[in-house]
Amino acid sequence: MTYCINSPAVIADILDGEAIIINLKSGRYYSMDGCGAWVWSALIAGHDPEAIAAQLAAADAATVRRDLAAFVAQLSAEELIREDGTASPAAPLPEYAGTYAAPTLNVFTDMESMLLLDPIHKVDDAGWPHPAAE
Amino acid sequence: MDSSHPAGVRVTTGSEASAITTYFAALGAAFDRASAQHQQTALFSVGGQRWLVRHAGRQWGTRYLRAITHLRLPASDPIEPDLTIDIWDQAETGQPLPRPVWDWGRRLPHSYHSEFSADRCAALVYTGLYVLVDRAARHAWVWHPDGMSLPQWDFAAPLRDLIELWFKPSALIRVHAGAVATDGGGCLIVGASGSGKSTTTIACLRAGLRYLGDDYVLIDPEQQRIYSLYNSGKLTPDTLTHFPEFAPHVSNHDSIAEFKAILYFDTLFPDQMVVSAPLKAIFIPTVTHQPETQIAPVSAMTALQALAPSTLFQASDPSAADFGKISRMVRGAGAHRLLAGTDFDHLTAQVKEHLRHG
Repeated sequence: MTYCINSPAVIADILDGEAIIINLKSGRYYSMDGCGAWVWSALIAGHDPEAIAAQLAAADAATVRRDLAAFVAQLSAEELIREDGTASPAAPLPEYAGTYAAPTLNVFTDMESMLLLDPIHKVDDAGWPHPAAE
Repeated sequence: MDSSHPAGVRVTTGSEASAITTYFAALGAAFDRASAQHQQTALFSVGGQRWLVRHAGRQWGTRYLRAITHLRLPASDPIEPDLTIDIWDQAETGQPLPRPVWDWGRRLPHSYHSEFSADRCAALVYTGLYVLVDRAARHAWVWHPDGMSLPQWDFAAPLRDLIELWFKPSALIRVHAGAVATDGGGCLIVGASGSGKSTTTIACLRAGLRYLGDDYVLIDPEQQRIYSLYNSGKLTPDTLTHFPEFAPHVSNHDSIAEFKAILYFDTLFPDQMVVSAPLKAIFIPTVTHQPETQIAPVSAMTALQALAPSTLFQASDPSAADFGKISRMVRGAGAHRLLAGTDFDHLTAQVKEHLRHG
């Protein structure tokens, strides 16, 4: 199975080997560095987890596959990626040059409340607002 | 969907498009009626553009535009404005907004949006403020049923949704940051609520640095330039104790606990208000409780993490393109942790020195 970024709700960027991911729908944002950022880049480029695990062969293969499965499950649970059976990577996946460490997703929830602050008005059939509590 | 339309644009039928055209034509007539008794006009510099703002009535419009008065240009400026904005409210003028003829297309966290074409769109903000934009005509309309009832923070940062809508197709983006400047250049001061962002920004203003804002500014990542939006500043009751001389000038004594203390600095520091400055540095304050302040370089990712989430979660309709603008900006500017000490003289001297010599 291959995956893609869950756009447009999710936006991400990689800078100096670190990834930042923002889920505009949930109000959560995330960071990863090192191996995690590399795996994230490979996943959203359309490489399947088996192929990614093969490029992390310097570590114990069974451990890598287990770590990646857990990582992909967490990314899916946070709705950062979605399955995309049609993804085809534009470039071959190079071997990971760093030292293997289980990919870790750092989760930040301090902004969640910003999406819940405003008592948005509801709009009646004619397009005029009234407070949501009415 | 017709692939010739940008993503998010509703494809209207011929009769709907005709109804929208008729509606936008009626906006002009409605504003003419609202402003028949009294109209005020002023020209402003916003993000390097000239905005001609006309508001009907004497009360709400004047108060609503208070926070951008430092951006005023001479009225005699002969250059055609980039945008004309007509503002009125019903409570003061008795003139309603023409009744919308569309179903609101998208419910966003803080507003409803409808995009009728690449040029025309409308937003209904949670406060009840309507914003309507006709890009081709370079014209916008802002209306509220009772403008004086808007929350205090709307007066401290007016026209936020219009600014976001108007600049969305451009290189510019409104970011959640304070900004001050010296002759050597300007800096963004970024961080979440409670990080010391406003305290640092306002301490720098008091120490003589030029002021571009304490909460929202526009940035142009292509030119690496900061543009001021508001002359206002907000301080919590606790941080206001660091600036006792400002207490008599707080504009909302009866709602400080709810909205923070809101100050308008253009009258207190008129010579330090600036419209724009080149971006030289990004500071991420961390309060240390030590007397002295230190500045330490950090990665661009640290700056992106401090700036992007709070900016995008406050935006009406954030997108990957907006994220890209912020990302380009932080890649081009030096980012630093400002280990902010309790000695404000030392803190502001460090910021000045860094901007002067890097």
